[in-house]
This record gives sequence, structure tokens and C-alpha cells, in this order.
Amino acid sequence: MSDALLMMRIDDDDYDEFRDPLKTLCDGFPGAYWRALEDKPADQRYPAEFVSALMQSGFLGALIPEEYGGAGLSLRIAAVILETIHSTSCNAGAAIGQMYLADILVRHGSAAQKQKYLPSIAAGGISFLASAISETETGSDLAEMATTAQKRGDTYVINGAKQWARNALHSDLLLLLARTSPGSADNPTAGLTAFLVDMQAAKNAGLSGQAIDSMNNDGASDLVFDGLELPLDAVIGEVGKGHDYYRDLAQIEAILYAACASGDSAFFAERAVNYAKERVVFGRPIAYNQGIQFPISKAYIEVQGAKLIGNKAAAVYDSGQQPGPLASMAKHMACEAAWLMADACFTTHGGFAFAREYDIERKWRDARVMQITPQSSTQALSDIAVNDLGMPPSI
Amino acid sequence: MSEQSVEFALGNDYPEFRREVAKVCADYPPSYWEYLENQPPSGSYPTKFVEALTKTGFLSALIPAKYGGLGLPVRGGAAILETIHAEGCTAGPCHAQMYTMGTIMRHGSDEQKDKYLPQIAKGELRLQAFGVTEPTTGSDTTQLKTRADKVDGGYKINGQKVWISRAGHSDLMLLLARTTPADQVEKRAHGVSTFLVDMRLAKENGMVITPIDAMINHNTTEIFFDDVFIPEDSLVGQEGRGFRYILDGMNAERCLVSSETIGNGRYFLREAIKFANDNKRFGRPMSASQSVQFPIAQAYAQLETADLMVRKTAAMFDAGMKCGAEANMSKILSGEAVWACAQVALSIFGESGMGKSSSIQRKWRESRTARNSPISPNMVLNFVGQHVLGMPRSY
Repeated sequence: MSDALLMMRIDDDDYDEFRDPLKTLCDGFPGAYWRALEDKPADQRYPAEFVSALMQSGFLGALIPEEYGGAGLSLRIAAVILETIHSTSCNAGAAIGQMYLADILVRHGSAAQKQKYLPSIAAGGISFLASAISETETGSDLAEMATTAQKRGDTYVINGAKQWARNALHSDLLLLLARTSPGSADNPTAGLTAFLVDMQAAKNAGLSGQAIDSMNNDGASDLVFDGLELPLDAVIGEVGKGHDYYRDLAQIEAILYAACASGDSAFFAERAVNYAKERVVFGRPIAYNQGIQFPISKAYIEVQGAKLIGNKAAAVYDSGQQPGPLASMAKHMACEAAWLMADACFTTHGGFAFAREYDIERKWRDARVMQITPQSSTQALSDIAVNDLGMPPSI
Repeated sequence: MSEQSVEFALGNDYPEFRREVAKVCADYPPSYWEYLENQPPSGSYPTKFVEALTKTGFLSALIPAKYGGLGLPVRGGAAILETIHAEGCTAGPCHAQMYTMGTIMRHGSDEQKDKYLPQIAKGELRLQAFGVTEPTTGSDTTQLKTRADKVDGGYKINGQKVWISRAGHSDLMLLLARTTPADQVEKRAHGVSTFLVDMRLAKENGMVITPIDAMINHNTTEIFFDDVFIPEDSLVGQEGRGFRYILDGMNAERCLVSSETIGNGRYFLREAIKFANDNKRFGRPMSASQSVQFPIAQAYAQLETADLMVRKTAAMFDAGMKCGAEANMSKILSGEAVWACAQVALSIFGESGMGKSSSIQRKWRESRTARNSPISPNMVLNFVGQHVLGMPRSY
């Protein structure tokens, strides 16, 4: 690694100026709000009020440069924002896209695209919450992507299907990856192109979607593209370079999701410790039992370690370098630690862990899913093994 | 000092020291350590290696320049010890020379400092022994039974210590003994005193050292005190406050031994990756199999995480901040990480890692021990549960 002499601050609970107002905002969306959403049919579970409040707060424009109306803050602060949201009863999954998807426009968008979209995204007037990458048949194997974009005159015609497109039915803009030309033997992901889809226009012109009923309220949907026509200026950057752009975006995404997981860990740690100290069984608080206390302590230690890797990845990014597999490591370790903490919290609560009103089971389901999405643990390990440790590809 | 202003370096800090250390270590290949292990305990001390290292001055890294040391921060010492282990050697037989003097520096009188520190810095006096643990009390340190009774001109020591490493190869020993009986003090930690014992004299006065034959070559011993007289000026600091003085030094010790553990992890990973890349099974490199590759990547992620905690601890220690929690967390994270590295390395090397000529099995044994000492992981979990998370004392 070329990170010699790069300095990292020891900060833990810094940036109170961001944490405090966010906690106040999140207090307005307690567990009951999220539980009520889960009681609804799959297509009505979107936390629209919460997302709207976040949009208006300006926090989601943290990463957009000041020249486009954003706050131009560091990735570390963006991580603090998400960590804080997840340390409450809330879940940022419905809004997180707004924070980083626009980065592809900042880096690769045309002057016209930047001018048209970035200020509105930064101000929260236009939502850019969704990306459509994964497909039913091919999953994470993006080289095998079957969705095509064929150039016909002044348009690209999109045909294919995408799966697990989170928030796609609730976003004004969608980042789409589709094949414009075949890949080559040595670069199978070449020929994928990034498009910016105006969802309002697309919905009546060849794009249909359906919410997926899943164990989490993650806003995921299936999308079908049936001859959807996109204007030429929907292309982001160069034709055929979409995968490269997406890979850069995925690094930011991984670091931000690591922060979400660390926030979840803080939620579980607080709930676990409080409950262990209050709950009296066999004549004393259960925290006196090492069988209860040690798993909480152990998970807490793993969480503290994982936070350091997350901070390191953000520090490397903020210094202008590519974090590369370090981003995968941050997400992987944060999600593993969050799962340990979630499970310790679950065990500590005994039967009450299942009771929905405690919110433990809801956050616990969310924590489990974070190990799989948006990048799975095995992909993270593969990235580390190949791109950091110099082992051959195994996938 | 504001927490946020403290920073630490990422990557290979102290590169010039690392290079020098590696040069010394190159003269002590696996065969040297294998030869020593085949000797009886009386002849197994790596005298030549320790002499070579002493000549470089690295063992006096933490002694201030005015006493003839290098005057480095703890992180400098950590980088040196990490390198020794990463290069396949072990600092266990001499690392105490680096940090045991910390107690003298912080709590000793000017006379003691002037008398001992320059000689320790030069390596003329070996301060390698640290007499705390006892057979019947273990981690319950305040209940130790060794007594120091005031007599004319000094103290009479009676009792027994166990797992005292390097006592046979040290001129001085830092000894913890009770000066006021436990039933006559207000707090359990009171009434215990620290002494700097001249072992050359003590041996003439009835102190008996017996080597313990152990699974690792750490030259550890039992020590018996039978009315052993030590002069009054052996007392360090105030009588009855010794437990505090010892605790003060433990954070630096935990940080330093954790960095040795990180070094061992780096050794295992380097060797395991090379072996797995170079050796073919079923027509492809072993490392192309996920059953080989993923555990390596996982162990590496854990090691990188632990490394950051060690760096954070050192930075806090060097900035004069409280770092008990971080030092303890470093110990447990590095212990778990090195064990993951050790297990995967031994599995990948198979039989060829188990032969006595292989450093894999030697370091594997060493790594298991690192998880138990110098502090039990259970005591770390107790510390975090009680002092960080605010749960009740469970033991």
C-alpha cells in the first residue's frame, strides 16, 4: 500500500455539530414510525416523510462540491452523518443514494448534466436515490449483464430486467448500467455504459417496476425495461466506461455502508448494556453474568476495531487516493462486527428480542442483510485477496 | 490536549529503523531458533541475538536521550518489535529491556534514575524480569501473597512468583510484594509496593530461580524467596502505592507486545501467501481456491484492524492520554488476528509447516500463548464491560 506517512486522526465521537442535530431529526422518527411502515403492503412501505426531512436538512448534500451547491465535506463527515442516523431507530437505506450517487456526475458528467442536476440534488429538490445494476440471472457478475442499450438514431433503446434496485420507484433519477457493446476477452466489463434515467418520463415509456416483498423494508424493486428510449445525453461520461465509473462509486458506497453498520452497532450496544443493567433475573441484573456481559464486551471491541478501518478508508479517500480493497475491508469488518453486536443484543434481550416494540428484531434483520448487500462478504474477501494480497482470482 | 488533534501514521512508519532491524534479523534464520529449542532450558537463551540487538541500541528506544537512550515514543518501540517478529525472529527474550524501565522513569527517585537508566540504556545492566504473577492468585494481582517485611536497613522478602520470563538472564527485577497485610488496608490495591531488586545480590541472599520447561522458548521461570534481604533503596516511589505504578506501565507493555503479535501475523501472511501462490494443487495455485484464499483475506482484515488499534493506543499513550481501554482492546484484537493468521498458515503449509525446522509451527505455538499473556482475554472483557460500557463488576 502506498499509504506511508499518511496521517489519521484518532477521533471517535467527533463532529458533534453534525451528530446532535441529526439525532434530533431522527428522534422525530421513532421505532413506532418504522414498525407502522412494515405493517403496510410492500409498495407502501417507503419512509417518504423521513427521506423528505433528511433531504430538507441538507445533510445529504455533504459530498457534493460547494460550486454545485453542496457542502463539499469530507467522506469522513458523510460517514459520521450515516453512522449517527443508524445509531438511532432509523435506517438511512432509503436516502443513502442521494449522498453518493451524484459523485458519478461530479466526476464524469457533462457540463450540462452537472448544471442541470447537481444543484437540485444538493438542495434536495431532485432525488437521486437509486441504481439499477444487478440482474436476476447474473447477480454480481456484471460482465454477464444482459440488459442492452442499442443506439438508434437520437436515442438509446433499453431492453432487459434489473433486480434489487433499491428505491427505484421512489426516485426522480436512476443510475442504469447497460451493455452498449460486447466486452473483450481481457476486459469483459468493457462496453457497459452508465445512463442517467429520468424516472418520471421513463415510467410511462417502457419502464415498469414492482416492489419486492422482502424481510426488510429496503425499498427494493424489480425493473423491466421494454424498449425504453433514452436521449443521447442520458449517457454519463464515455460510452463503454460505465463499469469503471461504477467501481469508483462502489468504493464510496462501501465506506458509507460501513458507517451505517457502525451506527447500528452503537444502537445495539446501547440497548444491550441498558437492558442488561435493568433486567433482573436470579436476583440480580443479568449484566453480572459473564455469559451476558462478555459477548457484549467482545462485540464492542470488534466494533471499535472496525470503526478504525472505516476511518482509515475514509482518510485515504479524503487524501485523494483510491481506497480500493480497503473500502471492501471497511465494509466487511463493520458488517461482521455489527452482526456480532446485533446478536449479542438479541441474546441479551431473550424473549423480548422477538417483540417488535423493542426494535431489536427489526434492526437485527437489517444488520444481517448488510453482510450481503450492496456487496457481499465473499466479494469483499475476494477483492482484498486479489487486489491487495496478490492472489489469483477465485470467483 | 484535544483528542482530535492527535494523529498517527499509516503504513511503514520508522522505515529506517525497520531496515536496520531487518538487517540484524537476517543473521538469525529459522535454524538458529530451532537449535535453541532443542537445548535444555538452561541453554536455550538466544544470547547472540540479544547481544546483536543490544549493540544496535534499539532496546533502549524508549529511554530518554539524557540517560543515553534513543528517546523514541512508544510507537517507535512498537515498530522495532513488530519488525523483529515480522522478520521471523522473536523479541520475547529481550523486549522487557525496552519497557520495564518505564516504572523507574515515571516513579523512581532521581538517584535511581541516574544510577540505573544509563547502564540499562547501554545494555550493561539487564532489566528484563518483572515479578508480579503468583501461582495461587494469577490475574487477581492485588491478592498476591509475597511479603516484603520492613527490617533494619531494608526489607525481607518471602513468597513465590511464577511465569517470570528471562529471570535467569537479567541483572535486575521489578518486584511487586505486599508491605501491609491485605486485611489492614482500605482498598485491595493498597499496601502493595514495587521494588527494583538487584538479582545478583538477591541470589546470594536466598532467592532461587527455577526454569519452567514450556511449549515456547521464552525462558520463563519460577522464583522462590526465603527471607531474602533487599536494601531500603530498592523501593520504587512510595511504599504501598506499587500496584498503581505497575498498572501505569501495563498500557505501554500491552501496546508493545501487541505490535509483536502484529509482526507475527505479517510473517504468517507473507509466508502463507507465497506458499499458496507458488504451490499448485489440482492444476492451479492453491491460492485460487476460496477455501485457501478467503481465510487468508479474513485474517489479513483482522490483522489490519488490530494494527490500527495498536497505532491508536500508542498515539494516545505518547500524547499522555488515558489509553487503558485501547491498550486492552489492542491486546485482544491482535491476539485473535494473529491466531487467525497462524491457523490459516499452518493449514496451508500442512505437514511442511509442522516440521521442527519450520518457523510456522514455532510461531504458531508462540501465537497461541500471545492470546493468554500477559493479560487473559477474560480480564480484557471484564475491563471493557465494567470500565467502558458501565456494566457491573462480574468477578
